[in-house]
Amino acid sequence: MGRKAKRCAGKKDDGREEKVAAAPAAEGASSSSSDGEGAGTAATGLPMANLVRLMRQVIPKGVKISSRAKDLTHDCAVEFVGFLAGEASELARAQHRRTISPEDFTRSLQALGFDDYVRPMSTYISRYREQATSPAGYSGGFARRPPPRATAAPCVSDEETRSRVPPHGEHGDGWRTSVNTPAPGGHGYDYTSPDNM
Amino acid sequence: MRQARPYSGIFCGGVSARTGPHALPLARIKKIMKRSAGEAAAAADGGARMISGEAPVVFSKACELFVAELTRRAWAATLDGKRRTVHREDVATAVHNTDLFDFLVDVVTADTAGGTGGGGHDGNGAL
Repeated sequence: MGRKAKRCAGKKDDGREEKVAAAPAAEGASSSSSDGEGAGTAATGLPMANLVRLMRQVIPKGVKISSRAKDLTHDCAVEFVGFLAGEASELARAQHRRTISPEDFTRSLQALGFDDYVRPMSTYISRYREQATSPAGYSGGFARRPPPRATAAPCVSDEETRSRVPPHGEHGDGWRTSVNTPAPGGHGYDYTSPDNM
Repeated sequence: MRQARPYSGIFCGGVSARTGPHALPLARIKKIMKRSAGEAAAAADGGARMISGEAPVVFSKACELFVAELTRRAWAATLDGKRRTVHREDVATAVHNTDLFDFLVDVVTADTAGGTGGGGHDGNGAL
């Protein structure tokens, strides 16, 4: 319990820091209905449009999702990532390593009870590495990533983070433009207003 | 659609081409990971402070699976209530009914117990 309380305190501090720095306007708009804490969380969390898109992929068409349900799912996803990252960090430290690797991640999934995720994630890791190392067709999109098992220095990570974050916050668009041609059959989603039901 | 092909045997349909290789931005995932790993490093036994370039990719995929499962369970709770709009209470019910999501109980109850539950929201109305 103390550990969770500590994490919450850290989250609030990060929220305040993010508020001082200019948060993306889109994030502010998407979380305008929330209180200050919600806005802080949204600024440091995941884009709401991507999250809503993921949610709609698993429920039938025509189903509406209230904005409060979206906000709660977003908070749960952020907590999930932080929870796994903390466990993976401790596992890596137990083996006297300073870098969290995907193997630490799969072990943390198993330790925390997400056994159903371990096998698909292991397969994803192996196939991702095959794809990252093969130059055919994907070298343009993945050339920016460090090589497998590379230890990234903090300054390199900061530069990488800065170069990867566009100012408008639509990171997915950058990836789509650089790697994939947009498919014409993707009109089922309304991207102009993510909160529109 | 080339991007989804390697994983089509694992996940039905895979990820839509419009989302590109990753449905969630890696920089955001990395920021969250660094915050949590930093807290673990501050603990007595310490933790790893650096993250390999591949880890956010894997976390992004795991986060997709997690959001999909949570949404499915929330949808089941919505059906139990004879409704067609997923409310916040449906997500909270899904979290409480699943032992696997015990670590989220604080996140769910914090919003409900706090003052934010009382006012300043649009209630349960669908947009």
